[in-house]
Amino acid sequence: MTGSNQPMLEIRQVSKSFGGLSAVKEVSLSIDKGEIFALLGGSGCGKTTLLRMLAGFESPSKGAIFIDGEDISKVPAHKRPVNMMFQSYALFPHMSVAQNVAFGLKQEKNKLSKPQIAKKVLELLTLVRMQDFAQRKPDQLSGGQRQRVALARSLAKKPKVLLLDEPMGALDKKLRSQMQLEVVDIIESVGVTCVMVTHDQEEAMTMANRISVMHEGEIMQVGTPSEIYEFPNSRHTAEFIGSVNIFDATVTQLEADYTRLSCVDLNAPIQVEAGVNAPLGASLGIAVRPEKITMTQKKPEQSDNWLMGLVEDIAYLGGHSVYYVKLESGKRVMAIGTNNDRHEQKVTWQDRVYLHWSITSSVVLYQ
Amino acid sequence: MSWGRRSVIGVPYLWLTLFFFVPFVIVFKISFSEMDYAIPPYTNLLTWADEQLTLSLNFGNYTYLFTDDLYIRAYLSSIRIAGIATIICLLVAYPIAYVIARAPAATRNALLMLVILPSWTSFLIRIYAWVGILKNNGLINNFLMWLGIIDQPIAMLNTEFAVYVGIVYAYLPFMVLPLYTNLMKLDNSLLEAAADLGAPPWKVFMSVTLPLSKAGMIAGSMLVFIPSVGEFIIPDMLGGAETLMIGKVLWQEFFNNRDWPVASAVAIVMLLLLLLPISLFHRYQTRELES
Repeated sequence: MTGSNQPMLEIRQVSKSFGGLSAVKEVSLSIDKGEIFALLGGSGCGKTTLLRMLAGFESPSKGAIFIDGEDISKVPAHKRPVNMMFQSYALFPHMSVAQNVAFGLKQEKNKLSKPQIAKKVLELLTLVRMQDFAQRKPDQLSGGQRQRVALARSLAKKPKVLLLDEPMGALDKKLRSQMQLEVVDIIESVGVTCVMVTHDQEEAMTMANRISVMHEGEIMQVGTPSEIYEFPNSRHTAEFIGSVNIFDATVTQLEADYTRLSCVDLNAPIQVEAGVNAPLGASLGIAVRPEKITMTQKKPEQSDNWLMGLVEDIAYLGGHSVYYVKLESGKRVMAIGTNNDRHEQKVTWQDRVYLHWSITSSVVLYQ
Repeated sequence: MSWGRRSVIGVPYLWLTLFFFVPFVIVFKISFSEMDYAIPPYTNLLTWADEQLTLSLNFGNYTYLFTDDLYIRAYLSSIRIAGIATIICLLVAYPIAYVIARAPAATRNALLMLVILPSWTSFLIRIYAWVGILKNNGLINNFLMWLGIIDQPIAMLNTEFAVYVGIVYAYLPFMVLPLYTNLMKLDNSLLEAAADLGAPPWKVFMSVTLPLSKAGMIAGSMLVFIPSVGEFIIPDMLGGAETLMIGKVLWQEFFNNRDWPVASAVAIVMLLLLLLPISLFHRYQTRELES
């Protein structure tokens, strides 16, 4: 029982259905100590249900949940070594900041003495830089301050697993990016294992070490943020994380060092790296991220991986612009151009442009 | 302000003036007059004689209330009975309101209906029904004797116990409804947060649900306590001669003694007594609204 290679949290084939409708289907995950793990998905994908099962607010219909090797599936919420930061923060409105943070400490079996609790509360509030607000009531705090208090409160009992439910959901955009890094710093300084739920891919990528993309109650892909972004394993993941162009193509040529496909939308064949696991004639999706596409006004020299179209729309975003190029077939393709010259405005609406990308830029999607 | 807005605000004010303020002024006026064998049975405050307008205010009715300890005892006993009944009401209504508020949406309305349904029948008839239930050869006594638990009927009617039963029964909806509204607003995630932090269910209730439902408890208690103090029908029909309540005293002064001035003084003092809890309630409410 060294526990060195034993995961802190293990979810084994957990399913949950509500009145015949299954919200979570056979989910298995294993999360290591100290990891920040994100469950990412749109609304209704089952991520919140899964989190609520970890907290003990719902019980799995099937499967088991282990924390530090112990099956906690049947343990009621108030006895689990797990604490949660709620989306709405759920701070007790009738208690001061200090009382909120002390609440969990006061519930412990071997209760600390009053001065010990006070000392611990001060430590926690200092950790989240809220020590000057100890006597305030939650309704006298701003959104960011409330979040810090909620975080301190959920860390007070030194949980084995910290759960974050849409941690930035209640904050405005600017505060969000600042708090994301701050919360990660605090969680890492404490060293607690953390599972967060979010629908915001940027948030998941900023905060988490590993992400699991969920869709319709199932896990589509688990990986680091860059794995998920650069090597999506399905159309859903590719489209959910960031922007992507997907071309429906048919395998025409299988060579040792490349594979060639044809796509009705394109003027040229598509060439991808070797190792495509499909026979000749198979239909596949080829995903190309818009920032990996180069736009020129001259026809590119390469024979494959290019297309031609008219600029239909330009979204100027300051640092870069997104160009929407309409192909002859009617399909729209997105390309990103960096705005590194202040005066240059080389491409404009209705211009004929060529888009091309390298053989290593595209990802083959089998499903 | 537009004509429409004026009339929207004006109508309730007109209503209150006509049906609350004017009668109150009349009663207040009568309380300073003297009893007279006339129609109406009291003297005028203003008299015109020998080209002199005389205003005679008779404080005797008020001092009289303090010379006969019947009135003081009646006030105290009314407040005590209303107070105890309010507490019982709160204890009975809280679990009811809690269960309704936590029930699934579909059953919630049906349960609420059950609370309100009795009020569709006349108040008088419902209290009269309790006479039949509580009397010596009534429903409860007959049933207990048939079971053989008792062989002598227990005297329940015409006791203070019957008055408590009556008040709790009649005013229960007024306690349940504000508590229900309050508990409905209770954010479920607060209860989950308390459980998540290690509080067992009873502690979640004591440390979160109960303190956060204070406003509902106070509102309900006021709605039960204030009308109970002046209650007449319940002590008259269920309490018998033993139970002393100010509503009964008031009735006797008006209709048995035909002493309208003393009766009016009794009513005014009762109102003054009730002003204290009402103003406390009002202060609490404004403080809640401000925060």
